[in-house]
Amino acid sequence: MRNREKEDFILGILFVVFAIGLIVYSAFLPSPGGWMVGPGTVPIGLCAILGVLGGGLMMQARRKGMALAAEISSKKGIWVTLKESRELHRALLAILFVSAYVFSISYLQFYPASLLFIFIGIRIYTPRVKWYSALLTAILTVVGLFIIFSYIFGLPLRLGVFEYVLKLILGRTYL
Amino acid sequence: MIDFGLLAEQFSMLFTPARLLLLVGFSFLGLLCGAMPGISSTMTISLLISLTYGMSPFNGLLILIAAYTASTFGGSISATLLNVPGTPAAAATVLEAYPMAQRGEAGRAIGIATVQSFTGGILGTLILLFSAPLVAELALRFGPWEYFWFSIFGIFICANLSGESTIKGLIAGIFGILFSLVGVDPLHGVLRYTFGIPQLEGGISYIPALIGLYGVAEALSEFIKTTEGVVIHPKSGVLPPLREYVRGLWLSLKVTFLGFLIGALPGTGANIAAWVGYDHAKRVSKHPERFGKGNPEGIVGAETANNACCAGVYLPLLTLAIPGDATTAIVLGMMLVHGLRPGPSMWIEQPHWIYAVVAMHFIANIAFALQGYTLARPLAKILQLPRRAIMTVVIILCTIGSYAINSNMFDVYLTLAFGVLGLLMRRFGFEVAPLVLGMVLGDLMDIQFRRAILTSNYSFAPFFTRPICIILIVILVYMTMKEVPFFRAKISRVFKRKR
Repeated sequence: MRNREKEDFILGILFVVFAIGLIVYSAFLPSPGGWMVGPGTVPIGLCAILGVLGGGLMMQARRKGMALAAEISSKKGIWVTLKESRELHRALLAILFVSAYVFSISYLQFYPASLLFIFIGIRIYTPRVKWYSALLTAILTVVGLFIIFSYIFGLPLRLGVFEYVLKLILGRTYL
Repeated sequence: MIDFGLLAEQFSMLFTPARLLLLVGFSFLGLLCGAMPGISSTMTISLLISLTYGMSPFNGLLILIAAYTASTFGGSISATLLNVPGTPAAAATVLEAYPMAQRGEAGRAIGIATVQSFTGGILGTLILLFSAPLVAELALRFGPWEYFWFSIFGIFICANLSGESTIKGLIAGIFGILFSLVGVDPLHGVLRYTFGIPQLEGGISYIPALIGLYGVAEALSEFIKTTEGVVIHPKSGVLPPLREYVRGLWLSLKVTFLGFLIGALPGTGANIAAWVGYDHAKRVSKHPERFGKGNPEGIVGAETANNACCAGVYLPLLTLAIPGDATTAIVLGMMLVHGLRPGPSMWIEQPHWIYAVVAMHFIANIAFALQGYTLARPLAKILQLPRRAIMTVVIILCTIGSYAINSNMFDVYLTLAFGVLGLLMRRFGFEVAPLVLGMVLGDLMDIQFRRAILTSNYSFAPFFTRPICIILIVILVYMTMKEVPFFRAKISRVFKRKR
């Protein structure tokens, strides 16, 4: 069985489990107007269909080439492949990098975090670009974003440390 | 009845220097984004939505329409020069345009794409103008039963047509509906699936989710890639000879209708229209054997259909408040933010908006066609910019777009979460479009279902006895049966016997 079918089989199981869980959860939602118009009616119906579709996905995976469900946990199974996958490593790095940017906004504020993100992003993903070009690109982009979003459209995006830089240059804070 | 006076008034409103500047600027931006592989039309619109909050609704709608039509066409430029479709709607164009570029006819291929996209766009807009009043009149008779089935129909069609597996499409659609049900139940005020997180009580806003699913997910998948394409520069002129245009006119007329019809079906979109157009061109061609080797007829079929579809997707949006595809789902979000209420009542309360959309489509088509002719060569140079560096800026624009809605960091975290979800969905072969449509239509489906039950005194009968409901159910049953191997074999046997 190929990897895609193994993955589909496991996903099918997960969907069935998820559907059962959500049906149980939805069944306990209070329904003041009777069960037919209760807040859990539509979700229960949908989860029942989801469960059937999950089963369908498992069957489709089996039909396409799976011999035994036990094969999933075999040595050459999906987890080994995932562990060795370079694609997965790159994906994790990308997710980590973007998450770090998003969560750093709360601490560094929007513009300084964005400047760092563009500079580091260009250095990581386009190494052929020289560091000073990357820095210049980052500065120009952030200035452009400031002009468009903060100056023209007045979005309340925090300047962070740049507020002090502006104060030094202009003699007053911007926001 | 069409009010041509109101239409003329909307045209006159567009002809101000500031609006023409906006039109040209955002049409160019759309062209650029569409031409850049990895930045789809939906992603472009989801990035631009943050700009519309600070604008008047008229200007906001104008920039979205200008960017959407231009980016749908722009996909053909990288399809020709890079052998990579800039947008999914240009996937069929690659098959013919790139072989032409390899023969040294890149300019001619872009020229044909430009003329045909323009033709499809203008004719599609005309069909929108004449068909929208009729559909709106019909929609005024719709009750909650019809709206319920229309929502199901849209999600089902989307799941059925947009990916490799209908089962996966339907699963994505159901998850979309479930996401839309998070928050306070509007009928009884009961909290659903908030799991103690106060920020979820207001529900999951679908705009941050869309930005994540299209913008962040696309940027993440670009970060994962290891290679970038090689650009072919157009050497020949871009303007095709008139006789070539006249030769393809009949085909483009037929394909326009097909593209518009596909766009008008809730849950479809330009990429499906392009494939249907391409397939039709191949079937009616005198030389089908030349397809795949650089046959201009293939470009005519695909490009006319996908741009006619751009107008078609506005038909269900304006008449039923049901978006035709993911892009119009974002436009619907923008309209709601600005207090506009599309749907059948818009024809009575705010008809000028319908004519405004038509007028904007006309002008936007002219704008991208002119830019397509003049900017094809400079665009080839821009395509050489490192895409991954551009994607860092895309992530920042996604952050701004989701933050700007409520000035709330929780929306940014949601965008990130949906971005990761989008990446996982692509990895495991799930289409994003049904999820998006589920999120947009799920709320409507839930409310209309329960309203219908209450209206009919707790009876399910009207769901199955009203004429439009019956038609929709028959189509849904047929499409479901086609997916079950046993019935599929039976159906194909019946059709073979008839032949």
